[in-house]
Amino acid sequence: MKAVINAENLSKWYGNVLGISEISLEITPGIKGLLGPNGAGKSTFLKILCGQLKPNIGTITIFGETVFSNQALFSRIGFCPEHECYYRGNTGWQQVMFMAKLHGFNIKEAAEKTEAAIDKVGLLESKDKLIREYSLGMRQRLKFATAIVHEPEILLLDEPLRGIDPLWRVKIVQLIKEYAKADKTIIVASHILPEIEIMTDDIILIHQGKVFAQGDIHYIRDLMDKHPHMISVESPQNRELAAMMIDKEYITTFQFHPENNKVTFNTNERDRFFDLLNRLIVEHDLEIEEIFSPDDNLQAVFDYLVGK
Amino acid sequence: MNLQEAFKEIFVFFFKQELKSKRTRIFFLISFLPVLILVITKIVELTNPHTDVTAAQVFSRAMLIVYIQFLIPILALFFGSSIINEEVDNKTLVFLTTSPIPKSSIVLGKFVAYVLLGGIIVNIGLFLCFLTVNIDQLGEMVYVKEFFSFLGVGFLALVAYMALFTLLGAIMKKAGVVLGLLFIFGWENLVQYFPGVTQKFTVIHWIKSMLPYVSEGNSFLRILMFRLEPSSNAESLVVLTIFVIAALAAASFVFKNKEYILSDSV
Repeated sequence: MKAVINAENLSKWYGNVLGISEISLEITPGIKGLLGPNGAGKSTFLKILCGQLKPNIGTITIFGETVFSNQALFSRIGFCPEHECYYRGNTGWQQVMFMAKLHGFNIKEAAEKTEAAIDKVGLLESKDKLIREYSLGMRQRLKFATAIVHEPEILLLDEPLRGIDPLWRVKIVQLIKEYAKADKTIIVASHILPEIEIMTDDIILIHQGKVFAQGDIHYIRDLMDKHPHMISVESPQNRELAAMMIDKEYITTFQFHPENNKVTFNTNERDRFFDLLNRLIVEHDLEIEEIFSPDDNLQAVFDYLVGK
Repeated sequence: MNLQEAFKEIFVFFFKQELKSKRTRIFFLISFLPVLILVITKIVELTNPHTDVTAAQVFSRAMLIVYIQFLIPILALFFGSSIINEEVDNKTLVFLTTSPIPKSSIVLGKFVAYVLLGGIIVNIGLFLCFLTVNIDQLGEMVYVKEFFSFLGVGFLALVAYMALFTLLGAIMKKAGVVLGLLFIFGWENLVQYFPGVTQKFTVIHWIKSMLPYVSEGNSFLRILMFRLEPSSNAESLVVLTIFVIAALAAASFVFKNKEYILSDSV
């Protein structure tokens, strides 16, 4: 399949602060997950893609055209930024309608497109409410409606599920998947692996401004599964629990925290650890107050992968 | 979308939006303060006919200075410098700059919307001032011709100052407001009184040159004309027109080529 987005040796700095460095990518239609911890450079990459920022080095082309200040190209791109942005004194309808008009639709067409977009994100009933009266989730959905109102061929979504309630998360994910089926190109940036996982298998791992890996999400899953995990268990019987687990070779270390009845295990086989833990809890009727993985996040995986 | 269509959409949206904004309400209130002072003076004048200071004197000696040398430039500074900066601060710039419209239409559409709104604010205040002065002599109102000339010149001043501050706002953020204040209360207030060609390097010189001529014996606008070596109306109009076009063209150029970085870009 022919790439619609081509990035070559893309670098961007904000003064002395690195945004992204030497990113080269070819992106084809479908959903591409842009995964990385906060500050990794995901937003910078998306902002270069939608013409908000100019790269310091390198080139970016979409449909073979350069992006910055290429206003004609923007009718083919929809961008849902990460940050809160809305015209406070306006209603949801007014904001989306304004964007539809800026995309060149006449009043009738713009009204139809606006209604369709607002309906898709479930805001039809609250369309005449002022945006400042919307909840965080509603504002997030409104941003999504603003990005899709002109039915773009490329959709750039920066943390699109942030603040959205579980029911609407499912619906928004469904919408994104429908877009992909229509042969559109969607790039979804997130720092939360499961969010990306439910949308696509095709991911780009970005860390400290560089593309660290790209490809199938199962590769990342494997990396996550193999990296040492820290698991804390809070229980009045934490010492008995530790005694029962001490002989397992996949538990590398453990540490007691007597002040809060907690024991922290380090394991390099998380699934086996949890199988054992669950079994012991049931068999010995252990009283468990909390099970918590302090490093079960993407940052920990990246730190592990880059050898910190 | 072409420049004209985009300009229209931007103008309509921002005019409506700004009409109900807090900033507009504040400037409306500020522009009514001179009206309030005049109303009080007029009441004193009507109740005490032998008073030394009449409302007409206050109007001609103080109020016009308040408007032309204070209110109009300040209003132009706050509206003009915000044309780009408020979009950056509210992070709504992304909506405008990712739309398929010429970037200059954003600058020009917002500029005209804010100029029109500023003009309405100032001119309503001025009209009420004028009405207050003449409230007891509506049949034989004084300074009618001068008043309407002043409205026109005041509007031109608003356009010129706002164009300048639009450019300043496109180039810099918070520092633009400080620089604008220094310009209004420093440069404009000092250099306009320099003799010869020097005074022509101020906007206020060209504005004052277009104010209606009055004889020395008449107090109307006399203070405003202090030390002015006026240029002709035609020359003033040409200079101000070129100034406005150049400032707006430069603001559009800067906006098109400058990269505005929102705070959370990484």
